[in-house]
Amino acid sequence: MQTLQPTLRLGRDVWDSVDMPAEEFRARVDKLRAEMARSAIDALLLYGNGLDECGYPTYISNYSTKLPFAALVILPREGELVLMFQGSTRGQSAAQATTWIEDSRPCWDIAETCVAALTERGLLSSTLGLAGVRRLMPYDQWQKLSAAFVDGERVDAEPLVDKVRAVKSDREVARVRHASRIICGALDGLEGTGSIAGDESMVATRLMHDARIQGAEDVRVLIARPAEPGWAFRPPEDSPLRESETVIIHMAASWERYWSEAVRTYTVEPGNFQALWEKTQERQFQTVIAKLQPGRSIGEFAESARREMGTANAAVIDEYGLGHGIGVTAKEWPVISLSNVSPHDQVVVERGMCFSIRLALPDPYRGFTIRGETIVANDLV
Amino acid sequence: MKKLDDAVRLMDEHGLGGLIVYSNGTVNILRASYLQYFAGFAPMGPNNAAVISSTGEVALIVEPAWDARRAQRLSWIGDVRGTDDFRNALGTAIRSLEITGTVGLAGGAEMPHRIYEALYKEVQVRPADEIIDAIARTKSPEELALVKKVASIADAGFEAFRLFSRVGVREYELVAEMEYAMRCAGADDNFILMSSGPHNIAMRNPTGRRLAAGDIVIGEITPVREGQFIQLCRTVVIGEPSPVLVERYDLLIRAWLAAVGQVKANEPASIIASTIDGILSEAGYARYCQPPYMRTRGHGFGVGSVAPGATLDRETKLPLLENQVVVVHPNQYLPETGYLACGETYLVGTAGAERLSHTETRLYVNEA
Repeated sequence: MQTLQPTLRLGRDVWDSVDMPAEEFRARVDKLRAEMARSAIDALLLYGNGLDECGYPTYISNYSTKLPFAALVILPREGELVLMFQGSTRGQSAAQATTWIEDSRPCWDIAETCVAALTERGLLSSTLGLAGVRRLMPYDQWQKLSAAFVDGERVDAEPLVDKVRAVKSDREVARVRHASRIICGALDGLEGTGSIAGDESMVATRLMHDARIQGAEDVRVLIARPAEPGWAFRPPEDSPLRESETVIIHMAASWERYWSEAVRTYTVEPGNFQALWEKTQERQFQTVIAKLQPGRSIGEFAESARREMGTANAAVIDEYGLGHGIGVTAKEWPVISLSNVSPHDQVVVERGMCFSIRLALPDPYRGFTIRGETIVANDLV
Repeated sequence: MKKLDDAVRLMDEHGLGGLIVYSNGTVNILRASYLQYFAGFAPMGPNNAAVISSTGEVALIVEPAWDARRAQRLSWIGDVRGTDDFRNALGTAIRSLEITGTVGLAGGAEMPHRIYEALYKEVQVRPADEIIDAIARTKSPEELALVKKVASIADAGFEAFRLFSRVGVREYELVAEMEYAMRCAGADDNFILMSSGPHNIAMRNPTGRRLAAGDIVIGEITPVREGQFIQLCRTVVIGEPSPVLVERYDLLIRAWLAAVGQVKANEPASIIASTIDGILSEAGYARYCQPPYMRTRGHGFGVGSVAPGATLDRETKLPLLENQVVVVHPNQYLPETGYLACGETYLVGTAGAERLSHTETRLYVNEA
């Protein structure tokens, strides 16, 4: 779900090259190169920027932007990769410690550095697959980059890369699981006696602290209060909580690059929250997520979700959608829509795909309960 | 609304038929948040804009659509349009406000090519950051009160930095405690860079490293509230500091104090860098007064303007103006000690610089 971006991704920033070795990234390179060969692409330009949209370069390099800056990886069909990122030369040693790509170039002008690197490799006039470039690159940078493309062909490579990214390796899944454990631990902590004091912001502060202490690199929190007229999820404010009120918390966190998300519905009690998750709801939830099995389609899952939620409850989460893929960014392909006809309905679930999903289930006391989890295929994380 | 009146007046002076104040939802410590300043609302999604006509009509476009209710509640702009198709909504707003001719674009550095391309099909576009920058240059009493509130939050952050800079604490745990302290004190976001070790190279994100006796722990402690930043640059040594560390830190203190003594409205902003560099050069460190040994001697902070600039160096052209918020930091790599952090944020006044935080700037020593 869309959240407010912080100024800086300020949590733990490490590359554990034992648990996530360079071979893992080389395997990703091999997969992408196989796809490139099929599409006659000579090199991929994997671009991203900011804290929400740096998935393409992060996926292949492990380098992650900490500020609203940009990064780009040139992945040629043959030869070594080049990583360039906005930043000063002083930051190179810290950046190099988080990536396996040896040719890393701090710079301020990504377009200029990219053109120089493509020229060095003799790739400027070749067939280039663009991922993130056209969609995310600021226009002045794009104008500079595209002006250098005189010959050759540029093709949209986002679908190709998205599909490769969507199926996670066991190491990636382990990281998603770790991020999920951090989130679940923090959310469970809200139910402890004396855990809640103060306003919405203090709830978020507590969640963030719990997650950071567990090593989360980025943490996001949204809150929704159905008692508010025209309520919607929003960033927490300095607004006091009222006893017996229903509060819905969305929490997302990343650990060693990989994200997880969860949503919980609580009732405010003196000093703590109560989740009140009924057995019937658990059964319904399990019925729906069981459809996210390898071999089934996204459409089957969406259909099951619509059936279990009912029209009225489905309307509660309609504008947020049923979910989406999750990995090195909090929102990835495919998007799971509530609508009857969605472009991603035909996507077949594969082993290793990770999803962030959310359901609004009937609730005898509150009318509805929103629950969100991160799912690996049909396995509740 | 004064901001709107000022924008319309400046649009007229610049010969613009409209103004678009754009945000991609990111926040950059070294760049003004034009839309947040103008609309009084921190945008969340990937594309957001205020569209202003030459007659003073204004629409706020917010993505995703569900964030429109927050925008309606927080912004003074009445015409809020939630959308999940920003390009289309932008064109619709331009046409419905009957904007023609050349349109100014503030925040264009954040605008992706595909949005710009769609905009360019509707109108002629020209960069116009300077319009919002000019409006924001004079801080309102509310902004000044916010500046002081954030300064007290920074003090709370420093107290946590000092308290948790002790043997065995991991770098990321230290940052977690600083963030917690500042959020408890009222920050809605934080910018914290740090480093630890006997000889630091630069500030960076925290790792899993455990602090050890003899470490020099450096930090940029920067809370944010409603888009306003305040920064403290601090150094804590764990255990008895070496004589050379004490001596070199004193040098930085001397440079910092001398520079602060020059901060006054209407003085050239370059005086900060020239003063600091002058003192360090006299001490034999002239070759270290440049990257990669340092980045800048300070910079401005503000929601709608970071004037006198995101980098204060000897070439900075702008003067210091009354009520600007400026951090003065001779943060510096020195060969004998590694990178050291030393700096404070000030409010520029006609008679001099007003210190905003209350904790002392010095080399702090924690027991090993």
